[in-house]
Amino acid sequence: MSDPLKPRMVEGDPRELTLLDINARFMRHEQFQRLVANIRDDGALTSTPLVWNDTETGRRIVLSGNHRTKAAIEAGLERIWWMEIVEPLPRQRQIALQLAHNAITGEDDPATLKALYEELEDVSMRLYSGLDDKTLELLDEITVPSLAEANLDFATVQIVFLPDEKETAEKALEAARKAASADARWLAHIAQYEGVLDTLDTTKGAHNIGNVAAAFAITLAIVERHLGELAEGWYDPDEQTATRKGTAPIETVLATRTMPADAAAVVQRAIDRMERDGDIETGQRWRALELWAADYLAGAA
Amino acid sequence: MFHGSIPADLRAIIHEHATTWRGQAEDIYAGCSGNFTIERVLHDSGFRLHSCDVQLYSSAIGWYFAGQELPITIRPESADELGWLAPYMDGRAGTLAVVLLGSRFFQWLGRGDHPYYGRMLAAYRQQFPQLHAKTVAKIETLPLRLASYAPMDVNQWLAEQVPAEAPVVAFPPFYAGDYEGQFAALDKHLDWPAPEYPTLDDAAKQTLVERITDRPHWVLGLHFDVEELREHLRGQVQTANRGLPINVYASVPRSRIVRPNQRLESVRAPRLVPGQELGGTLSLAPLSMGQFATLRSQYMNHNIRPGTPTMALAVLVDGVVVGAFAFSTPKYDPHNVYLLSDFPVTPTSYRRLAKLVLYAALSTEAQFLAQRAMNTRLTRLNTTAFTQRPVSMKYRGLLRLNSRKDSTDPAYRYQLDYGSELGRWSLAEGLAQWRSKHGQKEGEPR
Repeated sequence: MSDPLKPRMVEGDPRELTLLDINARFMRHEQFQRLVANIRDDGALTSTPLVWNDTETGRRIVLSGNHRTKAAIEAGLERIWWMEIVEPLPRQRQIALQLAHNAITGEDDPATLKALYEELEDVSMRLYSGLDDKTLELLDEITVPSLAEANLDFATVQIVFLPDEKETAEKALEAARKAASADARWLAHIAQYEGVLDTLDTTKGAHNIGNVAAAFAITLAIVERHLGELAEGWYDPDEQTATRKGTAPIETVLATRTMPADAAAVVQRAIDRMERDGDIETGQRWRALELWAADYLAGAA
Repeated sequence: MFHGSIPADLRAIIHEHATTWRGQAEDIYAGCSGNFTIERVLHDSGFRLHSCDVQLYSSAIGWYFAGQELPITIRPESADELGWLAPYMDGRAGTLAVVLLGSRFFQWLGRGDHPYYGRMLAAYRQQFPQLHAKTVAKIETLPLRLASYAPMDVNQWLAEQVPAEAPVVAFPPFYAGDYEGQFAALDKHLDWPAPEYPTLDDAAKQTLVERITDRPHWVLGLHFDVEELREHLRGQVQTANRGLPINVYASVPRSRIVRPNQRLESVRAPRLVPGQELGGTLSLAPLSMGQFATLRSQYMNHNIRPGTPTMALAVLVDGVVVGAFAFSTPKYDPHNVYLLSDFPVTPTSYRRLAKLVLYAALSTEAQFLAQRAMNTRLTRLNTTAFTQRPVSMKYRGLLRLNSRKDSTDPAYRYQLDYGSELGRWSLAEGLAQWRSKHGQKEGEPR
């Protein structure tokens, strides 16, 4: 492959070494902190970085052991030992060395690893090892009977905001079905998203609540109080005619879903009698309203 | 609804320690029982279990599992609001179920005019027959049995009722008054023979340590170091980098540790590298927590303790990762999302790539994604920088410095709080602005 290397041991200030710009190796926060703590405890590095002394630039580049070098600086070491190569190293060989040091690392036999680790009696030595009992699956598996009280029965509703296209809508709904469990899923146009967010936000702000379902309930209650305004969906007030065919919700005519029970009883009796007398067909009780209204309008005229 | 339960990994350690006492003892005494985690861990260990606590919640559980009647009734002054519960209180499992369920909803009593609390109260009232029946059924099938329960101060219990040779296990509450606030609503509405007891302050904890550690078999869980017990340190459990480590001191010569271990997932998208030109389309991609942990481990300062964000996003230009940022759910102002972390990839040819990540975080697209994840309108962003300088060069010019304080972290001089409006530009506009103001490469004139 290339000429043999003749590395030598060198001692110096780790701050004078140049760390790699691009390094595929990285450490989790907790691993790096452990390394720093270990080096601080030891007062020295216990394994050596590999450094290439680039005599052309005067830089000593750490090919392997970058985290160790950084941790030594972090731990406050003034001097460390490293293994130094002084022969010219083409870029290709630098990268090959770096990758080889990362990739050719050997493997642990789990049983032997556990056995060796179990020999560590002192907690601080276990911490030093960088391993832990949970990772090595050494903790007892125990069952703890639950003492939790029953929770409220909730219904979950998912609203999915969708773009126009039918195909996209169907795909999005399918994705939503897979992504989250809900008792119901409602579809709405994406343009309505901002409006819903603002409505919920205003409702939450007004009532000092954070819960989305509670805000939704209040919003629905407001709609309930303004049912009459929904007549816009089928009625032209200027022409005083229906703007479309089909049926219209009675509550948008009456602007309420309920009425006082005494008054309801009078209406009930009247419609029952009309049905019995054949003034209206069975199953078409709404006709009573139409007849009364027509009579009223005729009288008024 | 009990807070402050013993973590699962600690339970395993307690179980392992206690089982070594087989043949040497027949009884185990558990102090500061809380929600009886220790007892539930040891329920099938073959030992007779004895417990002690001072709270109503714990005493109700303790009495029940010790086979006693529960002397708990509704206070006369709460009868108007809670009289409907009386038929459910049978002095045994029925009463315990009322206490357990009450620990959830009593806190909302008197707040029925509030839209959320009112709805929750109404739901509890409406569903109570089923909730109560389910809870009673659960209680009655629990295999836990206690040999005794003492509603009294743990130090008094150790001095007066626990034999000197008997094994003791205790994980006292971490902070004085930990549970009083948690269960205040129960005490407000339920009458019971509450014991008098001193607060478990540092002095009382010292007494507790002394009364436990002078016996042959013991396990003690503490969230602080005890120098004189150093040789008895047998475990340390910390499961999150920002979590509190708990020390386990024990008479048993068996060491166990559990350390934080961020779960990583690979991010396969390419990263911007030196010499590479930035493309023309800035975009965002949601990251899993494992993917975010990977990028954070690679590119963020190793001295910053990782937190857990609500959502994390990668910042890409033409599909190449240039950085990442993460938001946390607002804590105080519901419209103000917290920027938990933001960092660029390194090294690159661009000096101010960190600002491009901020442009992305302040975009309407980031705002949309955050609002979608958090189900609320988000209009502002805030963040904190710990630095040695009185201003953060990364945030200067893009965010507004709201306050400058001395750092609580000894590694830094200043704690700087920054804020900004959210959704200030689209990603395309943000990239264009960054290019014109900050897009110079290394070596190019500023």
